[in-house]
Amino acid sequence: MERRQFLKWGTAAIVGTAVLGACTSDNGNTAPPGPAPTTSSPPSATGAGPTDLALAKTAASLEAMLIDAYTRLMNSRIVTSSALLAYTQLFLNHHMQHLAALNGVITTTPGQRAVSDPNEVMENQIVHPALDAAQTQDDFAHLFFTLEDAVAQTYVYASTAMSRPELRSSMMTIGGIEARHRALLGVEVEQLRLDDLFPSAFARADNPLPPDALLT
Amino acid sequence: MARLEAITRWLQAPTPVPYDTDYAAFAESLELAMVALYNDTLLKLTGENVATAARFRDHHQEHAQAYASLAAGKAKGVANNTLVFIETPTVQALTDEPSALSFLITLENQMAETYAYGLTLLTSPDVYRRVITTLPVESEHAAVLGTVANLAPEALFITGPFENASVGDGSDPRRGFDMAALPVS
Repeated sequence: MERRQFLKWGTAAIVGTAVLGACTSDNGNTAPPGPAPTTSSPPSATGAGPTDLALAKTAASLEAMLIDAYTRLMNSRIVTSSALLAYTQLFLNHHMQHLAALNGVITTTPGQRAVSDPNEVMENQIVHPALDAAQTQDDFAHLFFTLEDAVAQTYVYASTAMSRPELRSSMMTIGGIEARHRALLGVEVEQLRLDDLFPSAFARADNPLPPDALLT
Repeated sequence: MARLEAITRWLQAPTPVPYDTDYAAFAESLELAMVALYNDTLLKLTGENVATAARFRDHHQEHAQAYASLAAGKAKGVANNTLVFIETPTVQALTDEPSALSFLITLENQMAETYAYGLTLLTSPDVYRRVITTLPVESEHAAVLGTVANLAPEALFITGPFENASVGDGSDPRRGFDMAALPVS
């Protein structure tokens, strides 16, 4: 089963299959692209425009989701892998700084408050069921690789849709780091083959999230 | 009918601005320099690391082809002379596999930084979208090579929790490559 399909469909049953299963192939490219956000509203002079704002808020909610998930992982007694634990602490720190940076963008728009809550759709449909179902270290490894994979792709998707160069760059200064997370978990924890880690010479740019996970 | 729609879309697509086509040509030259530098460094690698590096070299070749197609005839089809020139003494001084891996990691980090900076300036959708889909792959190259080199987790992120969106003359591993300092040959 393809990880991105698992995220796109996002049901608890599929979560169980994906997290508890041992499949690692990611060669398929069958998931349809998600809906493109509207870009008809022009950006304001002082802050992110509506579309940019929605994408930044979605990214922030995903960062909050990862902070919550990594915190739960650290508090779990199941994980003993030194590699996974070392990455957990470091990645948690990265995600906290990413959230702060995104909130810096979001709050430049008058009236906008910082995002602190995890993405509700992702939490309810994917993260909580998967964490509750996880019983082994491998289960956690599958889940966190899948989450980092999806979040890294979300930054690519969001950056291509953003209206201003500086926002596209800012998003990808985070997106590149998320891609590193994905690669490190893929190689060191999931032990993926290069064919699976790099199905293409280019990153995918379609929306990997369930459509209702995009905030407005 | 489908062909007519494709032609209509093509006619309606915004023409890339000159800076962006210059940038695409610059990116092509950097990617071809990466191919050349990988080829030189492959000789210092062993076992599975040869296959890994060859795979990444092939990615750079694909990146170069993609940028050439966006450069509106400005692509030269040759490696960036300045980058190859400034890196050649380092390549020649590589004595073992760890030093070769370290060299490649630095280059990959600088490519990611180059693209992060480029995005602050690019306005043509075809060009900036290609940069956006290239950057994470270069970052991942650096990460994978870092694991091969047994780098500590913190050392895998030389610019911390963010890619550095700045460029220079190539001498600083925390800065990418400046188009003015490394012009297309």
